This record gives sequence, structure tokens and C-alpha cells, in this order.
Amino acid sequence: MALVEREPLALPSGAGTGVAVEPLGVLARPHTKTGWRSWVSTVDHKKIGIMYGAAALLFFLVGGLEAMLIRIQLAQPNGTVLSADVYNQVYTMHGVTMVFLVIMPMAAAFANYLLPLQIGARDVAFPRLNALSFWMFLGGGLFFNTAWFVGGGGADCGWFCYAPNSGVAFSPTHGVDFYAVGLQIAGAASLIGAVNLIVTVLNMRAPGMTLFRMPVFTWMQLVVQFLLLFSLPVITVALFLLTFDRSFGANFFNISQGADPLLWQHLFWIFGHPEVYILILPSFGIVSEIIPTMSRKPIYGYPFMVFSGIAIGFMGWGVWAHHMFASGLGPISVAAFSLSTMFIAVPTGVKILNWMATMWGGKITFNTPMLFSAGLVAMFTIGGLSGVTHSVAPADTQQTDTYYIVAHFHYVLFGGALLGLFAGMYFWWPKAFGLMLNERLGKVHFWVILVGFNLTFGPMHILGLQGMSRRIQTYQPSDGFTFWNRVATLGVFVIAVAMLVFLYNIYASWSSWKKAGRPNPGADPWDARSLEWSIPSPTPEHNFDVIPEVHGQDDFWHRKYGEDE
Amino acid sequence: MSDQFNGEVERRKMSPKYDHLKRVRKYVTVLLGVSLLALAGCGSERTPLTTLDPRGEASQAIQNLVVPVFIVAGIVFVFINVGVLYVAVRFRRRKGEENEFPEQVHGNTKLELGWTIIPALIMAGIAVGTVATLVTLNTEPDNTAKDFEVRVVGQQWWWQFEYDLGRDGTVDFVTASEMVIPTGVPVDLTMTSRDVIHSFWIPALNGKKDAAPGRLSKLWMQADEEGRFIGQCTEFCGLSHAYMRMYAVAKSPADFDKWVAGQMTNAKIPAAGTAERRGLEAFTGNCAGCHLISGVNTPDCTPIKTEAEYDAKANTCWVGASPYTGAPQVSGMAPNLTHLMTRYVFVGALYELRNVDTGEINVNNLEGWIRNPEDYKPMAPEPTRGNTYGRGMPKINLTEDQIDDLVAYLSTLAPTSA
Repeated sequence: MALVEREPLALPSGAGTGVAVEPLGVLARPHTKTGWRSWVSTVDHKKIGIMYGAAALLFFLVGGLEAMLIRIQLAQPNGTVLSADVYNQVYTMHGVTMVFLVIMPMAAAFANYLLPLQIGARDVAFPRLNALSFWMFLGGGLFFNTAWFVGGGGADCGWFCYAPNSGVAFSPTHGVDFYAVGLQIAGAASLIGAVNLIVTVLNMRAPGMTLFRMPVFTWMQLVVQFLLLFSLPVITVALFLLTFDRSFGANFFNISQGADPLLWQHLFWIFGHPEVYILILPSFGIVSEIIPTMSRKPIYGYPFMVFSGIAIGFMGWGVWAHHMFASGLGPISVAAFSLSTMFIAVPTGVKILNWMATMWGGKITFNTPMLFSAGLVAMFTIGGLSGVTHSVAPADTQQTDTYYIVAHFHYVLFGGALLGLFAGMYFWWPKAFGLMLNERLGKVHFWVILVGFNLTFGPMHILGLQGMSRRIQTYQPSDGFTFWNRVATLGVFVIAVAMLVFLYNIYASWSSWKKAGRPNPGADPWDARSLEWSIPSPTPEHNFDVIPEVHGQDDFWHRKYGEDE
Repeated sequence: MSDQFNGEVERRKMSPKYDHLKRVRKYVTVLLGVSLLALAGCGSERTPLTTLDPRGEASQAIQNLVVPVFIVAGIVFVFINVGVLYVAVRFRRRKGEENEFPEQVHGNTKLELGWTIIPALIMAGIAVGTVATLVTLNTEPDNTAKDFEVRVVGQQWWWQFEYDLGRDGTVDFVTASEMVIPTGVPVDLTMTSRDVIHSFWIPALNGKKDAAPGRLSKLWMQADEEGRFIGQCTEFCGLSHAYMRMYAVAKSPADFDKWVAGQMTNAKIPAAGTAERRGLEAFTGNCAGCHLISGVNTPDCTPIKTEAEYDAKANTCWVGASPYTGAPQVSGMAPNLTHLMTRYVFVGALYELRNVDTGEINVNNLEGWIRNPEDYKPMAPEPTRGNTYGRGMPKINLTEDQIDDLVAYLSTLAPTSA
């Protein structure tokens, strides 16, 4: 971008930069500092990151309410709380919201806020594009949800929206149209963001910050941005085809005109499986920052951590058809994708063992971020192992599309991605806002959510093996599913309590911080290791007074404590 | 700065402000415990769809693979989770260690290579078993003993089973909701669909296989014992997905042959002037546009109207019309009702048609379904954007007398020998 701003250097720490002395280019950088205008007009990566986080939390409440409706409906056989039609909309909107409007933007929040800080840059490469990304994402997300009010109901085709069930003949309301266009907009936003962050990491690292000195979080986010860059175009194409079919009478998925019903599935999962790693790798990065910090040890096997992330990034492209083991692909394809799926478990296992090795021999402080991180290691392992049982294709034909797989991906996405994101929120909250979240409430949040999560999703393993199909609006008393469904429904209320504790924590921490005269937590409240902790909290607008010069991994730690012997 | 901050945390910990939380925590724990105990009271239910109770060759082959995989996964689960707890307890920072530094270990390549290679080896072991089982499941079974195949057709929201005796490519008879198979031999199934993608799954006999429109996919299953094995459509297929069920009914080879012989016959035409005959008239006047009964109508649409034609048992068809749009509909798009009363379930195999033990017809269900189908399962029979016919059984608005006659007629639909 040609719009380079000249920032005055070497200001006293904490002071804003003020207006650039002589802005170059056509457009001046917006310089409102306070009030809502400063948020709407901002191109600052930190404010954009915070807005991503806030929007994700908002959508999390929406998706969470939808989850509670699902669980209330399934609390008894022949449930009548929701009609079949509404149930299908609610579970679809829940899935799409949680994947595209909660976990992805929450991960984007951390990427936006932290990548420039961790590599010692003053902003992302293209700040205006960054703002465009955010507003497009928000627009796409809101647009998608307006289907409830103006589309004749939400999308009712599942988050995977298989053709031909997604066609007009089978889904005549406009919910699927909103799905196709809404995701198209949010997808373009992610694509722009991915290019932006890749360029940032590759070009804007501080002097001495070589690739192999970057924090693991930055590395994982870099891998994620490449996955986004290559996978989003596939879903873009698929969504365009769907829109053309539904709105302009095209026949890409019209079976009677010779379309192959598996076309959509291939397109969706070639995007959809890398998407799974897009959702989980940021959290892997987050705990890879927190565990060393709280253990007071460097990350164990940095090269293994980085390369296993890259390996997951590459292998993630060769496993998509394991979502289609029951679709009649033929035994050779099934065997090939079965094996490739098994072996992607290896780099993932390496990460888990390396985290444990990082903790081994440490002096671990079990504060809230560390509890959530350890929770991720334990809970994600369960999701990973049920993933391995899914990779065994013959077993998968019994388990797929049952609650067993619902349990599997919730252990991965909730027990993995979300716990990691919560860990990150507690960890970087003082850096972003200049105040600590209350530790005791944080611990209550963790333990209640851990119990609620296992109560909700643990029984789903059993339900799945007992033969309960997913995406069913109800079940029969004679199926024998009642008991564990009740347990799961109880669990979702426990999760809801945990989330109320979290929201209350945000409020209570803020108000007691205000009452106490806004004490500053200091630049480095956790005695941490990466560059963002070397600058004041909250981060000044220009990030670094002086662009740091980097001499090794964990440079900031070594500046504090000298080199290890 | 850092020390000052820690002081702040300590001060906040001491504050009595959060003491009430302790009490809340206690109440929550007690409440959770009590509710769990209450729920446990209604545990131990029968689960007929279970994946862990194989009753056939194919499902047994899967089970033999699943059990060791679960054991390996269980061991790893215990190892990691106990490991995390152990590490957390042993290496937690204790009081007075605030300023201590552990040894700064950066890694150990040999160790890390070890825990890369060992999982890879475990996976390789699982891979061998997986491929071997895949070969078993995909090998065309030797089926010369019973030379027939079943074409399984999914449709929103019920299953049709077309029997091809002699595997000559022609359908010999058609049934719905219940797929009858002989015990002790593998049965070849070919899956397809008329509308969206469905998935055929009888957990006791084999894993699931999608039934996709425009494609044929193969599956075989063998039941080792007689019985009724329940199944469920497992690919989301719209409104009534939850209500799309089916049974595989395994009969002894002798009973199966008898059943086949019965299914091959045409339906009886009731004598003129009886309630059953009036029911047949109601059928041809209101139902025959979609439903087929062999001996009464056929899909190739030569309308019959005269008694002589009934009595001659001519294979003819009835052109029906959508009750909503009047658009012509094709016979055969709804379940084939020939010998309906050899089945025990109907309406997506969800409702009782006849008592499994006594064979008594559930007249209530049959009448209720004809009277108002949408009371029984969610459907969308009205035409919608992009769909002239609607999906599912429409409300026909028959008089109560017509319903009685129709039920009387339908109750006769069984082969003479049965």
C-alpha cells in the first residue's frame, strides 16, 4: 500500500503519537482518539483486534442461546419445544455461528492484536485493509443472522449444507441464500485478513527477528493464514455455485441435469478440513505462549512445535474425504484418506507431549490462563483420540453422523479451541485493557466450564455409540437415549452459568479496578517471554517507542534474566 | 512493577468480598451431585440402535477392529490425562518458590523423535487392521445361495426396497419400511435416492452407506439370527430426518422363501358391494396417483375404470393429481402398498401398523394417519418455491365413512397364504 505514514519515533512510553507529522499519500490515518468515532474510524490493529473479540463474544451469546434451545428440545423424547423446521434452523445457525462468527473472529482478534506486537512491528502491513476485513466480517455475520427476521427463517441445511438438500426445491425459504451470501462476505473478509497478516509477518519483523525466533503463537497464526489463503477460494467457488443454483436457476447441483451429488461435498470439505486446523491452531499457539510463561521454562522443542504446526498445515490438505467415508467413494479412496488421517494425529500428538515436557520440571503457577491451558491439553487429547477412532474408516461408518462425532468435534472445538481462546483472554487482558481480570472469578469460570463442558459433551460419546443420529430433531422413548440426553442438557446450563461468571468477571474486575483508582498491572504482569510484554499496558497506539532489536528466541525473557547457561 | 502487581493480587485474594463464592461453590456441588443421582435412576435403558452389539458378519468385523482401537485410545487417554494431573501436582509452584527458576531445558531431540516415531508406529499398527477390515467389508460376498439383490431407495422420508430376484435387472416386487432378508447369507444392497442424500444404517448388521441421487453405492449385510433390526437415516435429509427409520427383518431361509412367494402375487380385489370394495374405490379415487398396489395400478399409466378390469386383475395405473395444484403425479412416488399387512410398521417405520406379537392391526394409527398425516410426522406436502408437488403425504380430506372403508380395504392387503 502506498499510504505510508511517518510516525514520530522515541516518544516517552505510554504517550500517544498524535497526528503523523506529515502524512504521506492521499488519505490521512484517522486520528480520533476517544469516543465511538475512534472505534468506527480506526485502522489500529489493536482496536480492530478488540472489536473482533467483542463481536465474537456477542455472536457467542447468540450461538450459545441456540445451543441451549437444541439441548432443551432434546431433553426429552418426542420433544415439542421446537418444531422440526425451527430445530433444523437453530442447529444450522448454531454451527455456522460458532465456526465462522465465534472461533474464527476470536482467533482473528488475537492474531490482529498480537502478531505485530510479537514481531516488533507498529501495525499490520495494510491497516486500512485490516479495518475493511473487520467491517466486512461484521457485516457478513449480521447479514447471515438477519435471515431470522427477513429470510423466512434461518438456514436449515446444516453448517455443511449438502447439495441437493440445499436446493430451492428442498429448502424453499431464503435461509440458505443468506447462508451463501453471508459466508461469502465473511469469507472475503478472512481472505483479505490472511493476505494482510502473511505480508505483515514476512515483511515487518523487527531487526533480528528471524522466522525461527518468532514466538510459537506467531508461527501457528502464520500457518493458519496460509490455510485460509488457500482454502477460502474453494468455499468461495462453492458458495457462488450454490447462489447461482438458488437464485439464477443454474444447475451445478441439480441431479436431474446430471450433476454429481458429491461435487459440493468435495468442495466443502477441501475447504472444511483445513478449516478445522484454522480453528484449532491459534489456540495451540496461545497455550504455547502461556505454558512456558507459567512454567518459567522455554517451550520444549521449539523446532518440533513449529514444524509439527507446519506439518499439520500441509497434511491438513490430504484428509478431507474422511468426512465422506459413508458416501460411497470406493475402497481405495477410503483406505488412502483413512491412513492420511491417522498420520495427521502424529504431529498433533507431538504438540501435546511437548507441552507436557514444557511443564515437566517447571515451577508452574496455576493461575487462570494456565488452568485453561492445562484444560486444553487434557480435553483436546480426548477429542484427538476420538478423532483417531474416526480415522479407522470401518469404525467411522458406525460412528459418523451420530452423537459420537458431535462429541468428538466439540471436544476439539470447545475443549481445544475455546478453552485456548479463554486462556488467551485472561492472559492478554491486562495487555489490551490495562487491568487484570479477577483471578478467583476466573478460576470459578474455569472449573464450572470444565464440569459443564464434560457433562454436556461427555455423554454424547455414549449416545453416539448407542446409535443416536445427529441432526435429529427428536428421538423415541424406546430408543433409550433419554438419560444421557438429560445429563447433556443439565451440562449446558452449567456452561451457561460459567459464561455468566465470565461476563460478571469482566464487569466486576473493571468496576473494582475503577474504584481502586485504575491501578496499572505493569508492562509484564506474568513475567512473560515475548516482545508484547516489553511495552506498557495497555499497549500504546504506536506499540514500540523504539523498534526492538532481537537477538534470539524469547528475547525479552533473556533481556530480563540473561542467557541460560 | 511485577512485585507490586503480585502484592495487588494477594491483597485482592484476602478481601472478604469473594467469600460468599465459597458457599455458592458448595451449593453448586451438592446440587450437581443430587441431580446426577436423580438422573442415574432412569439409566440402564435398552438401546436398540446400539453400535456395540453386532448381529451379523459385517458389523462383527467392524466390532473386532473397533475394540482394540478403543483400548489403545483408552490407554493413551489415561496416560495423557493422568500425566497432566501428575505434572500439575508435582511441578506446581509452592509457597516460597516465587523467585526460583527451574532448569531452562530447551528440548531433547532424541526424546522428541521418540514421541514422534512411537505414535507413528501405533498408527501404523491400526492402519494395518483398518485396511484388512476394509478389504473384508468391500469384498463382494459369495452370494450364489440366494441369488437376489435389494435396491434400497431413499426418499423424503421413508425407504423403499426393490427386490431383484435372479439379478436380471428387473424389479420383481417392491416393499417399504421393512427390508426382509434371509438369515445366514450375505445380502447385496445397492443404494440410491430419489431426492436428497440419505444414509442407510442398520447398526446391528453393518455401518452406514449414503443413498445419493444419481449414484449407486454398494453395501452388503448378513444377519446371523432371526430378528427385527432397527435402522435410522443418518444423513440429514430435511424436515422429517428424525422420523426416517427402517427395519431389517431377518427370517429363516424357508420363511423368507414363503415371504417372497407371497410378495410375488397380486393383491386381492374385494367382491363388489362390500366395504372393502368401496375402500378400493376410495383408493383408486384418492390414493392411486402416488401409491401402487400390484393388481390395481401400475406406474405406466393406463387408467382403469371398470369393474371388469379390476376383476381381470389387470395391471393398470391411475393418474392422480396434486390436491394442491392439480398437477399430475406419478404412481409409485409413495410407498407401495401391495401386501401392506405383511409389514408391522409404517410412516417412516416409526408407527405400529400391526402388533409384532399378535399381528393385530393398529386401526387407530392407520385411520389417524389417513385423517391427518401431519399429526404423525412433519412434512411439507404443499407446493413450495421450486417444488410443484410438495414432499410427503398430503391431507386428502376423506369423509369418515371413506376412511372406514379404506381401512377395511387396506386391512385385506396380504397374500392369501399369509
